[in-house]
Amino acid sequence: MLYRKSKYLWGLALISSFALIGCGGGTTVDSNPSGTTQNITLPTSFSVNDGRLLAANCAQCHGTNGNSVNSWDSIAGKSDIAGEFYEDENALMGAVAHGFTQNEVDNIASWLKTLPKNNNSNDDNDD
Amino acid sequence: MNNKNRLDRRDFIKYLSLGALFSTIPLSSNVATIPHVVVVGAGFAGSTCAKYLKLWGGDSINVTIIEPNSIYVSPILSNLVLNNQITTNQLSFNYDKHINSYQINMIYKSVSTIDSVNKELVLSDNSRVKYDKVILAPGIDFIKTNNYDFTKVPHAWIAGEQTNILKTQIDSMVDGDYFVMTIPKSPYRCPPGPYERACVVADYLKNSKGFTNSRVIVLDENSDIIVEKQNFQNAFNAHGVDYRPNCKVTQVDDTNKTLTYTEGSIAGKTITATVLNVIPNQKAAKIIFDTGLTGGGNFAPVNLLSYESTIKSDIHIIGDSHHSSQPKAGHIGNSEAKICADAVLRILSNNPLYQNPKTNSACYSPTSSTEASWLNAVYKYDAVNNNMILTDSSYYPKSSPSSTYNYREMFKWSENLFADTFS
Repeated sequence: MLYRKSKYLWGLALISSFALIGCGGGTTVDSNPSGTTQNITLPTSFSVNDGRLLAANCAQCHGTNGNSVNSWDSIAGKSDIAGEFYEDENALMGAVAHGFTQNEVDNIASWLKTLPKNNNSNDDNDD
Repeated sequence: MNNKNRLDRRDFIKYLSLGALFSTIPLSSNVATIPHVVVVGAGFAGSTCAKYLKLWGGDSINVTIIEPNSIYVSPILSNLVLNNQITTNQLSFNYDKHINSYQINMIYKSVSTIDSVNKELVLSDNSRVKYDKVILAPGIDFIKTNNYDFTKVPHAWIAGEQTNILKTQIDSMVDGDYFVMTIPKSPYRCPPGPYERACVVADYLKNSKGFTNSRVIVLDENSDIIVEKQNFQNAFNAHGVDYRPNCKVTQVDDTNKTLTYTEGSIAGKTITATVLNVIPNQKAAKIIFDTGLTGGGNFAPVNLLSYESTIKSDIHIIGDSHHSSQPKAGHIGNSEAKICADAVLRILSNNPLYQNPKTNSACYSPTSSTEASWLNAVYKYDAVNNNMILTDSSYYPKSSPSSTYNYREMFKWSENLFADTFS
């Protein structure tokens, strides 16, 4: 499922350290917002992607590029999101899911599965 | 990266450093080949928009934020400062990640005027910043009934100093003192927020301070609780909140801490309290009016596919100052910001706008020091009326009753929302 009812984390990582690493594909950001390692690559150019725009609706709860900073599930790299989207036992996720069509969910899933997972991100579905 | 972009970025940084010496920062398509997008205001909407412009646009654009404050204090969760659950320090964010990770230029000044003909912003020190696109995310302004002192009668609706003033006043109360707060006419920032505050303060006075003779009285200019009615009614009953609809504030006396108000058709009623928390009616920020972007209303009409003003081109308005059916709140401000960022990038790269944007609003509301409820809605674009409407009006808004489980989940929601906005 997309959310987990597991350990409670408080202590906002308000001012965490970032480092810039130049690379051939743009600029890679090595961030450490709450003990996880997050690699964000800034692109050299803009390309249109409808799935990415729709999936941005997930980021408020599941983290930028699908990498959650706490025990709520990370969804980066997931290929099975379409199957579980409407059936999550978390009531809030169920409410949000109601507002998206199957075609939109497929678009979101197509984008999410391309995203790299954080080293310590929480993406298990066994609870 | 290719050599062209590398040189452009070096030029950009060089120009920024020169900007400290010259009155106009020479950033525009006329000088550099890279478009310059300026975001004015860095709360939830502005911070998200700037970040996502670079996250998705990368080296194809230069992004500058103009924001007078180096620290932003989140209004989200700030009612929990009033009942000692958290501090404003825990809700404070800087822009280090915007600068260092997303290569966004920060200018800690305010914008005085917008020269939309020459596409220049005039700042508080009379310096000028050119733009190809400007995105305004300035939040709200208040409509005061009369001239009174916000330090004596705080609104605490812009978080930070105001939050702590109200907290200090609440903590000075003794058993038997009254806390009177007012709720503005909708639309205002954070629809559940005032009801949430009444619950939190009432719970705090009764259950933490042990007061049995104090009262929390709520004067609502609206005719009823406008969101999560059952949730808040239950909490009002549990905490003994005295809720009075159809009460419009007409005068605030900050010396005697007395409100004059109209209740229904009865004018001239008064009430005096130890702590007065008047949340005034709201309108778009001053810069929106000064730039002529409201079209006669209190908020700025925009094309909701791009958030570009319907009155002046290349000026976009997101968050609380824009006009639509979406609520005015941080979570959906974040959502609007991404639609705007994507649209600006599409426009600058000569791509058509996405025609079916969706936004979502989610908000947890603490109703005590241990319980919270939540509210959710998903919006879709209505091309006929150029509006964002509920995807399913028979289902939304959807809410969940107050519970200790929701209270714990609330912090996970806010952590990820804060990180998506400021990290």
